[in-house]
Amino acid sequence: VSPDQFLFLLGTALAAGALGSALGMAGGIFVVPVLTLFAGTPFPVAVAVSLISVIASSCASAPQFLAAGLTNLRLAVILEVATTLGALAGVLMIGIVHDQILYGIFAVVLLVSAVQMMTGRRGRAPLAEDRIGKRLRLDSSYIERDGSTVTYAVSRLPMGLSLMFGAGLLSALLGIGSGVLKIPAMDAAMRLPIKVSSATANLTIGVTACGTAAAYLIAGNVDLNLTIPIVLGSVAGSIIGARILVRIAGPGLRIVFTLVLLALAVPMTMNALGAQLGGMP
Amino acid sequence: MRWGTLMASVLFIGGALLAWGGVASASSAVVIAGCAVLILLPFLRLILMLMDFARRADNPYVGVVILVIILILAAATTGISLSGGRAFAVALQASVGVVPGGSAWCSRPVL
Repeated sequence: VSPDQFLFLLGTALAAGALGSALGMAGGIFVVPVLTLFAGTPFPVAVAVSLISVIASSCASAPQFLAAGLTNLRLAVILEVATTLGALAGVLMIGIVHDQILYGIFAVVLLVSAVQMMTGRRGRAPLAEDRIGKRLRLDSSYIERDGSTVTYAVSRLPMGLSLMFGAGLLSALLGIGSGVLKIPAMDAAMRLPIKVSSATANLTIGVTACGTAAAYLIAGNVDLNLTIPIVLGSVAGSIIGARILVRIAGPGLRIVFTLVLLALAVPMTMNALGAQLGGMP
Repeated sequence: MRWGTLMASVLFIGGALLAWGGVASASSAVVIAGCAVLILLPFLRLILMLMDFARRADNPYVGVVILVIILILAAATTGISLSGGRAFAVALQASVGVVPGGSAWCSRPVL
């Protein structure tokens, strides 16, 4: 990797990490298209590098969420059963699913993410107390900045677990944090407050990805030359995004984010149709 | 987790400096160590949670954490076995770009 290429990847990962962190998504959704389309990286290698960067982003931002008491640890570990099971299914599918199909799935994920970005995340009214959530002692509370305590219940856990299984599957196959499924699982299905949803989803990303990432690393799929700038950029971007960009995240940033997602969806769709785009920028 | 991320970042920076200094093999080893630290962080967090739940005698959650750990190990070992059981040394060779036929910026995938 030349100095120019290193700086390009570092800058891209930094922007992806910062934007993703500010808007509640992992940067993997940008890293894989950038590596495949601009760096000419084979899809499995891009997935492997992205998984490492996704773990890095998760680990970089998790301590702030934990310190703020936003992460529901019991719920996280319950959801991780579904996500790691999904990741195991995804690992079994690696090599079976053709690259063109993976490009197609990725394009769909980009388009759905763009729609989610434009519609925004809305807090929804909590449902009646859930028997499973109560039995597993998942209901919890957190303290807002103004000192008020927000209590919440966890509803419709089976539906949430089903979506989280899909999130784990997508994570292993595409190298992403799978916010595209985690957001509906936690916001819409389980009706969690958005802050709790973001913090808990963030914590599950690392556990979901670590088994697959270990396999890729030992198999030699993690291209170390690409990993250095991508991981360093992702870590720096996550910290910047969590601390600074959250304050300025507004409609303008959402529009830019949506346009980037749509712009990346076009060449990914073309690759799904056999165009074989990718090469030096 | 904060210290682990910092340690991994230091290893990645060290790896980059070694690569620019022309010490490719040492650079690869240091970056692999950085990747390993990152991958182990979520796993260590689970171990800590397991110990905490066990200390509180919260047996259902001890079981859930153990199940998650088993699933992670299953995903890792399945992925490794599907890759043909290549040795860890292959990662070192591939990472420095010695595998022929790779694309513009990187080496050929083996999984």
